[in-house]
Amino acid sequence: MTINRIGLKLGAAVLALMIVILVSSGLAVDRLFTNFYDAQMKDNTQEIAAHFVTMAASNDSSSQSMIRAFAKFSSVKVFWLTHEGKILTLSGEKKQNLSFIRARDTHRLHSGHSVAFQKQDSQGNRFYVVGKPVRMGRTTGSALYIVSSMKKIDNSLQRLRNLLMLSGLGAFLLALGMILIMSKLLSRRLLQMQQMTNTMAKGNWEARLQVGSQDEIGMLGHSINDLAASLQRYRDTRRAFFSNISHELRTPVTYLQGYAKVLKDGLVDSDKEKEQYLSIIYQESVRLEHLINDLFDLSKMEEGQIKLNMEWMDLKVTIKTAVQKVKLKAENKRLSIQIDIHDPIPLLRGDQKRMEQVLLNLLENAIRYTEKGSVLVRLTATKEATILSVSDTGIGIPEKELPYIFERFYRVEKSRAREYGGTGLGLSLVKKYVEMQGGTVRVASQMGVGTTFILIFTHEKKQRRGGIS
Amino acid sequence: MKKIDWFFSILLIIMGLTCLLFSANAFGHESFLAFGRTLFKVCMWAACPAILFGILYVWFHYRNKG
Repeated sequence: MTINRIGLKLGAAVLALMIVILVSSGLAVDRLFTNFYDAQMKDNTQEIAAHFVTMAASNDSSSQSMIRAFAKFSSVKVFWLTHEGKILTLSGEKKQNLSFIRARDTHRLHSGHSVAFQKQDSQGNRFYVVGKPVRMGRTTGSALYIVSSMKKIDNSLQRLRNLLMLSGLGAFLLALGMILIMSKLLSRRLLQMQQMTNTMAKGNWEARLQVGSQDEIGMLGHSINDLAASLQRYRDTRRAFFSNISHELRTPVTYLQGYAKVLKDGLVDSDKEKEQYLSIIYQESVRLEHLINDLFDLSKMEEGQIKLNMEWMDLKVTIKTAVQKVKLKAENKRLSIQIDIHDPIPLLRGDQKRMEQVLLNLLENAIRYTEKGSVLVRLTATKEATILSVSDTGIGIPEKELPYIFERFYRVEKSRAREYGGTGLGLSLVKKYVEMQGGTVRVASQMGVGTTFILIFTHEKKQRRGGIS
Repeated sequence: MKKIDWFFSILLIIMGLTCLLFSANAFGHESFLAFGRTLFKVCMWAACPAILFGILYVWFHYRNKG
């Protein structure tokens, strides 16, 4: 038989409650029966006493024998108190213990009042005593004492108490059996969760709980399953991240090693070839530097260490600065960059430097994947938000790839990644920076037609008031 | 729940019921027939809330599903 702590605590709590209820209700029932029997017995004795007094008052010669006969039937003892204060037993009866008769009761009886009280002898037997005056016309001559033994009632009550205790024990055992089942059933799911979290702590995040109910425990089970799924996703992403990072770092380093070795061993035929190799080494080192910078930014962002310098900024200025920086690249590919700004544009709260980085990443991507046509930067504002879009007439992104393009190191053109360049972290950084500044990123693309990245910055109340023309 | 848990629980329940029925059959009804009759009555009375609870549970279950 296994004992679990939660089941034990639950069972003990219910059992303690059960004991309190049983004891208090047992005491109440005991008092109820005791009082009921006492009251009934007193009523009966009073009634018998009233009958005897009536018989005695008739002063008939046969009344004494009648009283004696009735007393025998009723199991009571009768004593006669004369007007001189003498106590007489009924004829034919032995001398009785008369210690219960007190002077003050005798006085009360002679003055015409009834008395009633309980008495206990040295053996612990209880008696109920009723004294009633016998009226002869208007005067009180003598009185009667009726003594009724309470032994039968006490025996019955004792038996009743024993049975009540037996019932209490029965109810306790019944409750114990049921509590055992209920505490096991109720704590079972909690124990399963505890085992599941233990399994998770050992690194097995594939395990899931079977959650059937929709109550609080069921919700806790769902939360644990969600937590396990998140941890599993986190581990998978981390693995993929490290795998990608090592791959991305290894490739330029291999290039650098290879070409540097060729140059060092003097395996070049001409100065042109040498210059070409040096150019590759330079490009790869620049790429490596970009990659390291992006990784550094991304890791700082994920650790929450990056702090934005939030200020009111004019997006038009940011756009113009960014476009100026990539203009040369675009001209080299014979692409035109157009700016379309729909005034008035309100000031936006954000980090000027990061916003420029976002725009540069998007523009560089647009130029990189566009061979012919143009790149359009459009800025519009509605009542609710400022919308910045960067569109190109490039190769486009397949629809099924769109959900993944913001993931780290995800590349649409995997086979031609080196040809296009880039670190694979640009869009991931764009998304994170935009979200940190309270915006959202959307993308729309059509293969062979082009791609549009839309950044939406919802206006704050203050932002709306601070509009510029 | 293991078999031994069920065994102990049912044993305790039977012991409890026996004590209760014994005290209920006291004062002149100490026969096996009276014992069985009282047990039947108790079971019937216990079944009433159990059936009611079952009906309510099924009703709520299907209502929430619907």
